[in-house]
Amino acid sequence: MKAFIKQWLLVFALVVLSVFCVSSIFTGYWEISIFVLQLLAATFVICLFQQLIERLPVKSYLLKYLMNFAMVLASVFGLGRLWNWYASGSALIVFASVIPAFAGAIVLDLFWIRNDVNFINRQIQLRKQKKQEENNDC
Amino acid sequence: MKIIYKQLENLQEIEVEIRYREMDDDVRNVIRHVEQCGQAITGEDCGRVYKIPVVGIYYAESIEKKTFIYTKEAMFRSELRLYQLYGILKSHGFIQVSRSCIVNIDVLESLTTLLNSRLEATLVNGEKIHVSRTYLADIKDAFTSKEEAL
Repeated sequence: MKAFIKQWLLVFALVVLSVFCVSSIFTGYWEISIFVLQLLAATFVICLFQQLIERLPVKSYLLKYLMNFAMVLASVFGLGRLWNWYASGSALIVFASVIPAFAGAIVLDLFWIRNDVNFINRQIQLRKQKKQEENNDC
Repeated sequence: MKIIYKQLENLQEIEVEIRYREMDDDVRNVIRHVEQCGQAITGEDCGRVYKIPVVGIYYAESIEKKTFIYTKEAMFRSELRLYQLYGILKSHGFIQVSRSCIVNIDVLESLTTLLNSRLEATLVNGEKIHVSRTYLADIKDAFTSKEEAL
């Protein structure tokens, strides 16, 4: 399931990128494509920082979530200012759009962890049953 | 599987002969278990050096660059670094559960998600150890490959 969702989102990202870029080449209208590429770059920066935070020796996951959240906000605000994302709108819109994306990512993360833990526990029980059966056979 | 026991008075050490029709995962698993029985790691406790059978090791952890080996009831200090120990024990069913801890997969009782999003493994002797989420995928893979082997 996890692999399927990853694959699906990867294909979606490639489709969005190619549709916007190819149409821009033909129409000569680059504004939206540049915005899409800026989003791609922003995502890259966020993922890079996420990897760095993951390597920090912080034991509390709550603190890690907060650090990630602060990092995402800082990246979006910083890069948004650099690329003039807020020229016509309020910075609050960015804040409001980061929260659901971040909350969704956390919920998915927790769901996958629970799934993995359940799978591992099932395997442990299966192995125990098999060992018991082997002992009974002997 | 049929097990035949034979007592021979003049035998120097235990001999195990495995007869099989074809080499498959079941046979490999038996060989691995038999090989494990004979292997040992040295550990130190109160100035004395002991041979610890690999099957008896529950987990090993590194605390401030010192490596400690834990069995069901005892703890030993190892001269090896954790990564060196893991290199030896990996093929004996040991998995890395955090940056500083490796566990014998056979002594895992259960895995629990705590309220603060942390993970904890309970061992068959009731001991609890911290599990890092970073290694969760590797633990899952280890169980998947073990399941295939069984």
